[in-house]
Amino acid sequence: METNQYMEMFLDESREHLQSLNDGLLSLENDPEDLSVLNEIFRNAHTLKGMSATMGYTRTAELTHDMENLLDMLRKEQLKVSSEIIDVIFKCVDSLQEMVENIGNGDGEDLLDFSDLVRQVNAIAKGESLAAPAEAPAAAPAAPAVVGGIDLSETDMAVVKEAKKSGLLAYTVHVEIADSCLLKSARSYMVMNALDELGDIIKSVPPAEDLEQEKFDHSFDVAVITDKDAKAVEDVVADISEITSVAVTEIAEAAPAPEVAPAPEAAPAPEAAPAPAAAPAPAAPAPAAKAAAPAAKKAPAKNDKKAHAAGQSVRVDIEKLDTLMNLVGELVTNKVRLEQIGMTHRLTELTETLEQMDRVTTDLQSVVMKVRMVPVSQVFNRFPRMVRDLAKELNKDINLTIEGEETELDRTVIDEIGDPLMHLLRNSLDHGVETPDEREAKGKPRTGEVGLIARHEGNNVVIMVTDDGKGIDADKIRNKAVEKGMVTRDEADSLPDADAVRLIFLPGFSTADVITDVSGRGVGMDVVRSKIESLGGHVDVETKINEGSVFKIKLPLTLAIIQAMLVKVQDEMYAIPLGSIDSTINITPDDIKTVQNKEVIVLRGQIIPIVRLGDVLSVPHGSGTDEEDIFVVVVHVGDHKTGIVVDNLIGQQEIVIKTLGKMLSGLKMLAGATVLGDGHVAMILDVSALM
Amino acid sequence: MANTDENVVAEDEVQVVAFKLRNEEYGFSILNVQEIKGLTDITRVPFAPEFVKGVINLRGSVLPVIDLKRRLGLEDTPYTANTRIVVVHYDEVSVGMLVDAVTEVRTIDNDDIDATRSVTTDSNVKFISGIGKVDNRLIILLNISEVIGLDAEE
Repeated sequence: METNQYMEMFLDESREHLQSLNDGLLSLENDPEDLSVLNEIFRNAHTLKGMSATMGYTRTAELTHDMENLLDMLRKEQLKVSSEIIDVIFKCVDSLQEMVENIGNGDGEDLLDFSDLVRQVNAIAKGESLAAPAEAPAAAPAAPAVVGGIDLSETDMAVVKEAKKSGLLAYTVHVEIADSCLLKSARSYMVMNALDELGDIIKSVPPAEDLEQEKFDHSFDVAVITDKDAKAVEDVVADISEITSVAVTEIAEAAPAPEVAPAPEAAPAPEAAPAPAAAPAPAAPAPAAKAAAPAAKKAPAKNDKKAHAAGQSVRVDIEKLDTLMNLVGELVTNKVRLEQIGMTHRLTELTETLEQMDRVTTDLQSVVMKVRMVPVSQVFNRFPRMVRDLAKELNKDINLTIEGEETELDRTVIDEIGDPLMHLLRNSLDHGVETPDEREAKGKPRTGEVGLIARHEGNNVVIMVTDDGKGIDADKIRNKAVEKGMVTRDEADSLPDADAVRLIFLPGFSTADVITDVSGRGVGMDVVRSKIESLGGHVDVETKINEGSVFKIKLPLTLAIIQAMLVKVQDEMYAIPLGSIDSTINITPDDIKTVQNKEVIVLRGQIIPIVRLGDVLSVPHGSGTDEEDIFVVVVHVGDHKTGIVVDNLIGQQEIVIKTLGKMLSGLKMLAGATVLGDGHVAMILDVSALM
Repeated sequence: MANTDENVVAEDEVQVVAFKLRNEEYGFSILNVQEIKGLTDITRVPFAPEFVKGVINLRGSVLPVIDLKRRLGLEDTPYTANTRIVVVHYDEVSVGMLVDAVTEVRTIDNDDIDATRSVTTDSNVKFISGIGKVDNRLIILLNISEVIGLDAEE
């Protein structure tokens, strides 16, 4: 079978399902009684099974199948949700994840040996059902007898009444599909098709689009109007293979007084089913209720089986977006040129048209930007699971709070931010939060609070990792730094606490007394810092002994477009990223002093070294510059400040960062280039290299 | 594949874009030439190798430009109305080459290409892949990968 073209889709969707499995299991662990979560998990597992079987990954399908069995038993309450079971299921999900990744790498699914896991799963399944032998057989046959309900709205009932008047009959058809059926959606489609040929389908539970997407268990209900009798309907459906049972029930003429009938009673009444389980069936209510709510609203469109436009999306290769971005940039550049032509030739009509075009291009630009944005939840998603596992490993009680996961960041930033965040979280769990006993001794609640918070702050996104643990002891950091020869004793002692704590960001620093498996390998925080800074961001820490620490990461919204200050040296234009600019000042030559032959200025009591951009970049000298006014752009990297002397400040502008290409890569002091509005190219300065 | 190699092997003739540097005629295989542009503003790039004149804006992307005369060790001449930038593409890199004038696109018979390398000084010999004889003219065929110098000796 030619499956390559579906491979990407399969991988993407598998990952999504695995993610929701993880999420589901986590919430199930918190609330084992929540049947709707269990159903959700079950559906995910089931879809995964179907997908992998369709793609021919039998081993993946097998494991999912065993897992699904277990989940099914939980769902039918033949088993109680216990942490042991959840652990096993988590392990299954992990193995599945690994298998899917292996498949993605082209390694095939066979690399992983999960026979142990299967044994465990089956042991639990058997062990428990042996313990309760009486219950299991009783529950099993009961299930098929259950008839899911169709809530017919008033409109639907009106249709039914109308139909009856014209001599037609209305039925609800309850269809059960075999457990072994892999392509349920295909079967359901065949059922729907067959019924559609007989008459009109008024409604189905779950709705048609859910059926198409296999968002249902093994049964579904359809309400249909036809001129055939019940037997004919039943025969047609039963003829379709893999259908285990069909129950056709005539819809009784609704409550005698149609309009007056109190809704809650009238609605469920019509399906007064022949099945003994007329009372709400344990398995059905959650999905049915969910499906019914949206279905009721669009009831008038009775035959509309087309998929609804709810949350449609397209996956696009990021490269295509980059190209789009480039093209938009070009458009803007050309527009600026047209504007200049309009100005020089005083073509009012042209200028007016261009003004309109200006609005469109600006919108276009912001839309393209927005398209590249993805919510940070994409990264945050994986952390609850990680924190849970880690907390167990460390024997700590941790409650992870995630806020602002809908905050959006550029795709390129999202891809890079995962590892640093993971590192920070691990640190918080390992070094920050104390063990429950220690916490109790300090009078804190036994459960430690760890937070992961994202929010907008101006043109930046701030992500914070917080904990209410023991905080960072500045003295300990000082000692460690001196011990490692990073700073001298005097230097260390002269540092205020806040600065001393920041020493952890220096390369090769690790404070863990014992190097654990979790963190503390000495490559921690400096890697985090360099990663963040390579993204144009900044990381900082605030801490209070015994109250906890806050790691604050500040990131630009995007890497592709930044705010920059344009400066001029002789005839050359340079861009300095606004993010690293402290202030711009205007001084006279007298303000420049020298310390050991190095030029410095004093700004608000602070001594700041200065560099003359023209000299540093060996800009060819033009006419002698007028030395009366000197413009200084004060920039900072971390806490270090430097003044950059330029000839002129042009202004602040949004610029699109372009690379200099393979041939000119790795040039010092340059972070890239940008095309200005007039089509000229300007270099972007790498401020940190100027220091 | 022919388009990654400017030395002619497969066919018995080769098409070249011929251009002038001072009073000599040079050529690139047409398969490597992407387009020919008039002179636009070139932005100097600090710290770039000295033969790199700078970068230009090629429809929104930044393109490095090599001063071919400086690269080949020829004396500088001022820009004229004929000055062109020949954009060549080699091994996924696009580079502009600053030349005095583009003369023509010419088909040269392989038999007329002399592989002799001893004509020029030693240091520049690596840039030359052959010398084509057309009518009474000589067209010096350049080795693009060496001219771009990605395998960086600089």
